[in-house]
Amino acid sequence: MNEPADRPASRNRRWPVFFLLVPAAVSVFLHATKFLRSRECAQLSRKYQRLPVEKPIASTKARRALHYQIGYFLAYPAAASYAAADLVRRMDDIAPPLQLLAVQVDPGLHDLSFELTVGIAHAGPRSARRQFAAFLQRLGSVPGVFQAEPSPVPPARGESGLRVFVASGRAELQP
Amino acid sequence: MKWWGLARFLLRALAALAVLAAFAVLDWHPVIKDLGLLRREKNDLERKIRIYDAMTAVFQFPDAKERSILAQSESLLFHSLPQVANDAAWLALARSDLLGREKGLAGAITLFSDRETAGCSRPGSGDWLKLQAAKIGEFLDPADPRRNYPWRGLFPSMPPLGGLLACRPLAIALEAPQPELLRFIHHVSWGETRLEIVRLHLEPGLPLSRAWLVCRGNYRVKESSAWRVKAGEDGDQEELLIDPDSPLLLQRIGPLLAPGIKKRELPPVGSPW
Repeated sequence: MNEPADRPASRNRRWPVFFLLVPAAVSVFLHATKFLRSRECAQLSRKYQRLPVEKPIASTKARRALHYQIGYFLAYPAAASYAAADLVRRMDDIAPPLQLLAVQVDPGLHDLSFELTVGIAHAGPRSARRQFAAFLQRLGSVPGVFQAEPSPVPPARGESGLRVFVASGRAELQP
Repeated sequence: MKWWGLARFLLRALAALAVLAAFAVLDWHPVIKDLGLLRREKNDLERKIRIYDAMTAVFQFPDAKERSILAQSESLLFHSLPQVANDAAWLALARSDLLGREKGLAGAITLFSDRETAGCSRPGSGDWLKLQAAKIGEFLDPADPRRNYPWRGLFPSMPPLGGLLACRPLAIALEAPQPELLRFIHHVSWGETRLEIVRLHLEPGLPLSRAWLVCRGNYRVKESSAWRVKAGEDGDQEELLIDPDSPLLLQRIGPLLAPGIKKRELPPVGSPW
């Protein structure tokens, strides 16, 4: 007979329990989600780490790159000596009527730079400059030469009244 | 009694709020933060796997033929470097190789191996060589592997070479008629020592043209070497460029792309370019 009278009191005692249980349930749910998600991440991470072993793209690319580098290394000395000798041969062909005094060639890994010293005999300063400009034009039209310019060093007077000019440039190097 | 009830209700509400806040701050917030991080990590991994799968779809993996070509090219590199006992032996090899191949010009060739010997030119070589000796000595330095070695990137990835890798500069000076001189310059790299020209200086003349070349040669040395190429000494020097995204690296290497040394003669004098 006391039951209805006791109910509010027991309800009052129970609500803190519910109030702890509900947040705890939320916590359990969140932790479970975190556990599942981290397991998924670990699986994906393992799969991603296995990929380069199962399908080795990077190491194959590195080996192929090494193969092409070896090819370049092996062909380079002959290509550099050919390019240097051929450049001198061509400069010798285009130089007249100017006198080719010196050629300097510095083969690099991908192209070669050169410096030409030419002399112009029996010419006044204007005529000499005109002849040098025409030479630079011829030099620029040589196949493989992609840069030709006068050196910033001013023209000098050489032996027997020669006017000396210096031109520099770059040419292709194809092994 | 009414006030007492209200106060109890407020106290309970406050306690409930405190418990909720404690859960939220101490547990839910860090977990939700971790969930966000894990979501981003998962998306990131999924994206990376998708990209890798897309790459494998266009990538040609090596077959037996390609594997044999790759092994062959590594062996070619290994055998392209002469093996000598020490630095002096390489110099002797370079000298005999060069003079043996150029018997006709042997008397006109002077070899320098360092700055000191560059000053002592061959007797009878004339004033020109004495004048040039200082310049030649000066240009032996840029060819020094300790200062500038462009192939450094090629060797660390290679298996042990069976000796130390060394590279030594060598200067050559000679006087000869121009066609002979050009043929010599062109053939200088054709020998066993595979000399690479670092600088060529040529002065055309009649009947004889004059030239000096500073070259460098790579070799394997059994003993310790003063010209040893050491790893990790790169400065701002020129290096062989490789594009890691080149489509060439996605394709199999065919037998036509096997490395080799192309030796072609210069066109005869006066021939069109």
